[in-house]
Amino acid sequence: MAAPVRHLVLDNEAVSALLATTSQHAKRAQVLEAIMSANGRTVVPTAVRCEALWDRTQHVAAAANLHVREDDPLDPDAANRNVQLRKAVPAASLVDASVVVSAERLRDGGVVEVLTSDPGDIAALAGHADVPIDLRTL
Amino acid sequence: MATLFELLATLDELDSSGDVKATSVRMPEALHQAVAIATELGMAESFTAATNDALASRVRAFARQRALAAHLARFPQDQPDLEAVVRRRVSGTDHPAALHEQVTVAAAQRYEQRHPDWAVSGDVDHAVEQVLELVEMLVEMPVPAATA
Repeated sequence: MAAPVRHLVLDNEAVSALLATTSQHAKRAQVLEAIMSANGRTVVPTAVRCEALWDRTQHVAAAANLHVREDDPLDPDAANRNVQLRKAVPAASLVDASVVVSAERLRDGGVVEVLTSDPGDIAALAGHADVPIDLRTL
Repeated sequence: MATLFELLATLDELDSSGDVKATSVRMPEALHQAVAIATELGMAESFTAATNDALASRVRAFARQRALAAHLARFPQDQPDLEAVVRRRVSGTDHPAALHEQVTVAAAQRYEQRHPDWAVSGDVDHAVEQVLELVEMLVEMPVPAATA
């Protein structure tokens, strides 16, 4: 049987947890479980990085840089899709829609997980996505 | 001495750079022939592509392993249970491990008892694959007929 493939998109709170440097951090442990479970691609939308203040050049970002190397940029195609999704769910933010756009871009037959602390608007956006999303709450 | 950060940065370049470097590698003749045949059968565009894909995949897996090991060395409290990782890996799929939760939990706990360093070594994917293989084997075993 083919090995299951699982991709992961991180939202703001998940990224913030990953950037934490305290020795004990319950949410960071949850994020690590998600990273360990994802054997496909793990990405962070650039809009999420901006909101979470994740500057890859800063020393404090070292641990996060280890696990998530792939930025999904808000390029022209992503911007168009972002607008389409936000028109479908007007309450959703640019960052929420960026997460769902990134999830759509990961479609290749594997499962796409989105890890967020604020599932409401993302769940509504996921209803309009053209890929099934396994939404997990921090 | 080379560092994990240098390795990761070089892998990032691999995604964006088209530069190539010629190299010679000694490999078993049978492997050379097997790759050539597999390439003809459609495994890859060329022998070079097949070799590069396999090497890149191996190096990326090693980098992931080292990154997870480094994280758990710094934050040991972050270590999850193997059963949680396995169940999450198969969630949303039709893999037998997703359909037989009790068997999956038991298999993961058994593996974790035998290999308590499964996480700190960073070789998480190997541990998960071993558990999934065990679950497949267990759920496919024929049930013994009841004796009279």
